[in-house]
Amino acid sequence: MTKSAESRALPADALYRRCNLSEFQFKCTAELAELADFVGQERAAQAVQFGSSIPRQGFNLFLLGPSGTGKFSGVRAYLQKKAADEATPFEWCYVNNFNKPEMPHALKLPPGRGVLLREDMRRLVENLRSAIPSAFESENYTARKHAIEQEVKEQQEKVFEDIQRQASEKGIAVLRTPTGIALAPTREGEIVSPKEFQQLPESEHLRIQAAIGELQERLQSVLRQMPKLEQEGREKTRELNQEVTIFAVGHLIDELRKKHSDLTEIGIFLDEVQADVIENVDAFLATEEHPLAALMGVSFPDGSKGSAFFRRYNVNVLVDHTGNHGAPVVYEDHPTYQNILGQFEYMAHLGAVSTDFNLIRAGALHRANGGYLILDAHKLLMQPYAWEALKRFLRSSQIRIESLGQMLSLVSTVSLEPQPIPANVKIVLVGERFLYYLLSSLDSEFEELFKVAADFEESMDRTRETDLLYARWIGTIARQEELLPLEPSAVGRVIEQSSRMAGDSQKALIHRRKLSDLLREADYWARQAKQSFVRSEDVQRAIDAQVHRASRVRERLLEETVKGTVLIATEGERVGQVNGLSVLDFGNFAFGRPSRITARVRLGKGEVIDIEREVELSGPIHSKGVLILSGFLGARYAPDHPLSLSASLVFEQSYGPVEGDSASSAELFALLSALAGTPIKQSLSVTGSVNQHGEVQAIGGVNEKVEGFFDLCRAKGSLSGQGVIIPAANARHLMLRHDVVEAVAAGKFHVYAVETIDQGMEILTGVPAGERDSSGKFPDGTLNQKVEARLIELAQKRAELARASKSENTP
Amino acid sequence: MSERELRFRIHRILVPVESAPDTMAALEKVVELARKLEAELLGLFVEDINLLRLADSPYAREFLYHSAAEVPISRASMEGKLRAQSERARKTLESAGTHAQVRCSFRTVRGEVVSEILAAASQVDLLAIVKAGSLRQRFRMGPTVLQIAQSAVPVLLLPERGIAPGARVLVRYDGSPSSRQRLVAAAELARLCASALTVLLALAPEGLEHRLEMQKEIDSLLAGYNIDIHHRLVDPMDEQSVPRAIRLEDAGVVVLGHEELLKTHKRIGDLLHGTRTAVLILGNGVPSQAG
Repeated sequence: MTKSAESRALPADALYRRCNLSEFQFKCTAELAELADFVGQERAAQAVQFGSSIPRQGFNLFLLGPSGTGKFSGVRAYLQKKAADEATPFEWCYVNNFNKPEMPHALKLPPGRGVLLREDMRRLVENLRSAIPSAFESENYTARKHAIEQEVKEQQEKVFEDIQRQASEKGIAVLRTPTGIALAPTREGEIVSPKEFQQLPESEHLRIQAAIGELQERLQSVLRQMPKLEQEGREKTRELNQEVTIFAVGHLIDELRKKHSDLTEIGIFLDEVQADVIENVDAFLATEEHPLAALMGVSFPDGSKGSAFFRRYNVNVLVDHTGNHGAPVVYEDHPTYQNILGQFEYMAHLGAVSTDFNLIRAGALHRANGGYLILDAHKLLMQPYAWEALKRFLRSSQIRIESLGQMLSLVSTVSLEPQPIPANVKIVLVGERFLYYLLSSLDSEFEELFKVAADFEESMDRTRETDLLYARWIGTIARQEELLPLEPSAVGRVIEQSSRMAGDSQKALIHRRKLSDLLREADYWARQAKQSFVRSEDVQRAIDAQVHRASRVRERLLEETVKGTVLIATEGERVGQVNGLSVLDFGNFAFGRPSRITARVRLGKGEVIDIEREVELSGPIHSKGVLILSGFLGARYAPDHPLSLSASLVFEQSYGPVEGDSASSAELFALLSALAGTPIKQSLSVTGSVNQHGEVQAIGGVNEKVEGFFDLCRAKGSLSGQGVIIPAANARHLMLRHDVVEAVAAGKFHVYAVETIDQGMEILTGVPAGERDSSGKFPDGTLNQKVEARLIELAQKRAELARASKSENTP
Repeated sequence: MSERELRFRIHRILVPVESAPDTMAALEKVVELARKLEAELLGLFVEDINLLRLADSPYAREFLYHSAAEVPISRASMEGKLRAQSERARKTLESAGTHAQVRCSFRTVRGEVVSEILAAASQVDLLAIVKAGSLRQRFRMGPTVLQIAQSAVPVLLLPERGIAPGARVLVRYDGSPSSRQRLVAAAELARLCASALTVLLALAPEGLEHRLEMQKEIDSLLAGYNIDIHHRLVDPMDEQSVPRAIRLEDAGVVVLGHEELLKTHKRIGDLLHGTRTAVLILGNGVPSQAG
């Protein structure tokens, strides 16, 4: 190792930040106090606190951040705690609108009163169904009704008898025919036959004709009176029925009025019920068909007057807060249009579908009225018309139930238009960041309706305090999920792994789902070993098992590299060839993959050709990184000469897209090596991006990349001083595996942190880079001097060729 | 008289039909009765001879019920109307019979209505009359009914609106052979209709010591009928006692004999007018198993 390399090599303890277990003054996590709400999310917690408390329209919440960061669980726990101290909201019921059944009335009732009213009404109808028939079967009623009917019949019969008497006196018969009443002449009680009639004298003919003519007028007059008499009889019967009904019903309904006298709405409803009962008293008199009745001629109850009829007096309690304390916190897991706004169902009856207020079903907004409704933004937006419906509600603050079919004019069956219910619901949307930004930019109403954004962090700083906080969080999850308590060493290992997952030794990942998964797996292994506590070995075993399950592709790639199918050298030196590092990310698992990068140089017009880009396998950021190389070369070397090279760069044996600029430093190293003709050590691998000033910049996935090259070197044989050059800015991100750290400690592997291209080239080639002296020249023998000399040479050749070409073309 | 002979058996029921809508509905209930009794139903439509005579009269006039308008009247039109009535009645009966799987036949006769009905009734075991339409007037509790009661044919007078649900079957019992027959008929009816039976024990005040004896007699006669039986004392000398019992018991069907009818028909007629109580009149005989 050169002196330069030695100074850039990171010590083993810089590669992994251990947790200070001496700070943990507990034997296991069961001793730790529970943590509530949000962990490490101060900004988001303040936003939630503010948004959930401000009683202004439009101040609804959008919780944004990656999934698994505890947004749902945190906000739900917080809101439940907050809501418990708030007032229990009113209940809402739907009752029949007796004048317009298609427009049911909404009743607003104090908590617990809805069910009470429902039961009262059920009992009232039961009582009415027995009290009204009893009243109508009473001796008093029967007698009075009979008297009315008799009166009508007697009146009718009297007028007929008068007619009959008068007719009889004149020798005329009055007979009932299938369609009416007929008059005919008689003789000795028998109707006169045509033959007999012909034999009668003319005077008799005239008499009969006159008599029938006279009777005809009277009969017609009487017939015209009949409907009027019957109508009068019906009117009297109706008045009697009303009187009897009021007598039977009044005291029963009055009891309810008295019981609910504190609520005007119920009083109005009971008035309507009483009027309707009186109007429809026949329904209470139609009884279930008795076998004797069926046998002897009782008609079947009319469908509309059967048991179904009494549904009109039901109370449909949409939201029941009986026994509830505090405001509701509702999470709707399936936020469809119907599940949010509520719906009315239909029922089939004799082949037709119908609906009424009893079939109105509450939606999440009804349940959350007076409290909070938590919704998954992605699920909400996936449901047709749900987002628009929610916005309509937020604008109007009214829950208006409309069927989708009706809204889209797809169905034309009789439907309902329930009275809208005023509602005050704080909506909490939870979703990924991109959804928030998309809605902000594409939906003009969004910012008006969701004024408070709670942006969730993915990680928090690791300090002594936060390590202790993290330990409490681990303990809380273990308790909530009924896992074995963790020993301090296990807690430390979990925290260290959270740093690794955060990709930063100074941070800890606050991703509840990932953390829970790790704890559950560690618990599994601990229970397998019949332990009472989870130890660090269990955590490590869980981590190893997770990696092992996901590492099939990594192992196949390593295998092919070791066998020589994929050409990567880990020993020797080569000009214009360097080992670069990329990361393959499979979502739940990422690993570093070494790639051979080569550069070839010849005379040209100053082009650096990226072959990946030429064949369209390069992403825009990668292409940008390559173009920066031209800028670096042109500015740094032979500034007075045109850049006259044609360089080609390629990721060897790469057959897929390449993206990112983390290989741009490696490409520059290969290019400089090719220009200088100085070989690069193949025992090293490089990662880092570069700018036009030759500064090496931070990249992502540094741990995976280092471990990727480490795994390759180890797979190809014993480790013998190989290493990885990383940007110095990435040193703080290192949380390497224990085996890597141990190899570094043993001097078998190295991690170098560089800030500039010169530092990297010195380590890779063992040759000093060199800096310009007072005369502006690089010292002889240095890398930079060789590069510049080659570029000047190429520029001069190009100038010569240009002159020669010009003289040939001059006549 | 053996128990077998006492069994109330109906094989053929005569039902006079008209085509008025209210009688059509009631007709279906008679069909149901025939089904329960497993009896054959004979529908009878009588073309009233007086109406045909009337139609022949040159000065005859007809005035419609609901408009009082005068319409021409002729024999042809009257016959047409009666035929149409008859056809509707036939179809209704057949339809109801098919639906209930009851054997039905139907015939039309021409003549004086009551006479023709009584003549046809001599061929059957029961005459069922729904008191609706013109039959309501013709079969009032009066001379016509008394005339029927003298025949051997039992007559069931059904109220137009049918019987009130839960109503009881009520019968008077004095130990005489005819009252035994009526008791058994009433019990059979109660069994078929799953109703309770009220037996009016006709015992003079001085004969009350025979009450238990009479009850045992009734129990013996009705052994095997799984029905709820109640007893009520009535004074045989008090003509009001049966009407009073009908009212108090809220009877659905009253089973009466000829003698009782003679004594009480006016009072019972007034009492039952417009109610939903049926009357089963058993004159001089009850159809038996052997019959």
